[in-house]
Formats: sequence, C-alpha cells, structure tokens
Amino acid sequence: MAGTITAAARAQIVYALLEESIITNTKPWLAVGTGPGTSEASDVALFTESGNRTEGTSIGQTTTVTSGDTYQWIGTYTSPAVQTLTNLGLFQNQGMPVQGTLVQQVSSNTQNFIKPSNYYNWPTSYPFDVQVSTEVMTVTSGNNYDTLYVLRGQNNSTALTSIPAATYITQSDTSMFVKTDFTGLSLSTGDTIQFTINVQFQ
Amino acid sequence: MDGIKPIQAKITVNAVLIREDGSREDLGDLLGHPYDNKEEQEWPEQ
Repeated sequence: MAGTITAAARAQIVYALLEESIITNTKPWLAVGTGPGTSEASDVALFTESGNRTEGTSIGQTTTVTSGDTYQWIGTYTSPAVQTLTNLGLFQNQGMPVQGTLVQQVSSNTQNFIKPSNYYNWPTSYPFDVQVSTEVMTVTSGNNYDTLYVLRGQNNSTALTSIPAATYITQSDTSMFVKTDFTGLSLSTGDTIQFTINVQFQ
Repeated sequence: MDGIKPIQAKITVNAVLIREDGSREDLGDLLGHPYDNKEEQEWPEQ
C-alpha cells in the first residue's frame, strides 16, 4: 500500500506560491541572516536576520524533472556592511521583523518566559511567534517591563533544554516560505550577490 | 502505512558574487550541489 501526491499536484503547489505574488502584484523578498543553526520545516524566521530585504526581479515556474515542478526566484542582494551570511529565506512580505537578544539564558524546556534585551521594541498585541535558535515560541503576553511570556516548542518545533544568553530572538512575520542555511559567505560592504533560487518539489 | 508523507523539495541557491571593483566570481550552489548536471566530475574525497 502506498499513497502519493502526483506530479500535477507538485505543479499546482508551485503555481499557488506564484499566485500570491500575482494577486499582490509583488515579487517575494529575499532576506539574509547571520546566525547559526540548521533550517527546519518548523522555522518561522531566519537565524539573526540582517535586514535590507530585497524584492525579486524575476519569478517563474520551471521544470526540473516533471512539468512545472520548480519554483524559481531570481534577484540580487547588496551587502550594506561587512558580514558573513549563514542563511537566507524568501518572504511574501517586505517587513523587517523585530529582533532582540536573550539577556538571560533559557534553562529548561518548560521555562515559560524569556527576557529580551529590548522589551519596549516588541509588539504589545498578542499572540505572535518568535524564532529562538531552532525553536519556535508563541508570545502570549508581557509584564510591561522586561519579560515576555511564551508557549514553548510551537509549530512542531522542539523545545530546547538550554538556550544561551545573547541568542537572537526574531519575530515571525508569518510569510517565510523557503529557508536555507549554508557555509558562511563572507561579504564586504558593497558586494552584490546575484541569486538564482530553485525550489523543486519532489 | 499511515499515509503521511512530508512534501519534500530540493533547493538550490546559485550565487554569483560581484565585488565592488566589478570582478565576478561564480560561487555555484551555496547548498553544496556543485556537481549537479555535470558529467565527468569526481566527487571530492570525504
């Protein structure tokens, strides 16, 4: 016994991703990150997003194996600073997420709060999700001073038993649909990268 | 046989670096599939 989606479904998934851009008359934005970590399907944000999201110049549906099985994004990114990229993602929205760092380590997988370095930068409209290392947390409230209360291990991520202080907390804008990590890519100020990103559904 | 299969995707991120002086460097696939679609290439030793 076996079940599978068909090649036609793969093509329809690609078309659905393109359709969102067609409806909004935009192309997805590329964002880059500089933090450590291995991408998971449960991720909702980059590892330490670097800012300067850049809109694609071309998107399309191409064929790698079966007809229309590949989503393609083409665009450029110019580095505003000396930095080493470690991950990137494609987003349907341009927005820049709120980010901060943990001023205190997370010391168990049941700890229900985090203390960000910049409490007053965070939304006061709840809930919203944040990426902290490889874990997704849902922020449900705050104490109006220095503490965000969270639900752990959300979106099918694993609640970590320990997260060091100074780890980045990155807000989800709910629009990331591709994320990858790679060996560090060192850039100087003004360097430009031409990206061709192919996502082949299998 | 529970019928649940994740949707999988193979992602390639091909990058060309253009330095401020205009020089270009083809970095290939940042995710490490440099030998895709190339014949007569040897895999690097592990």
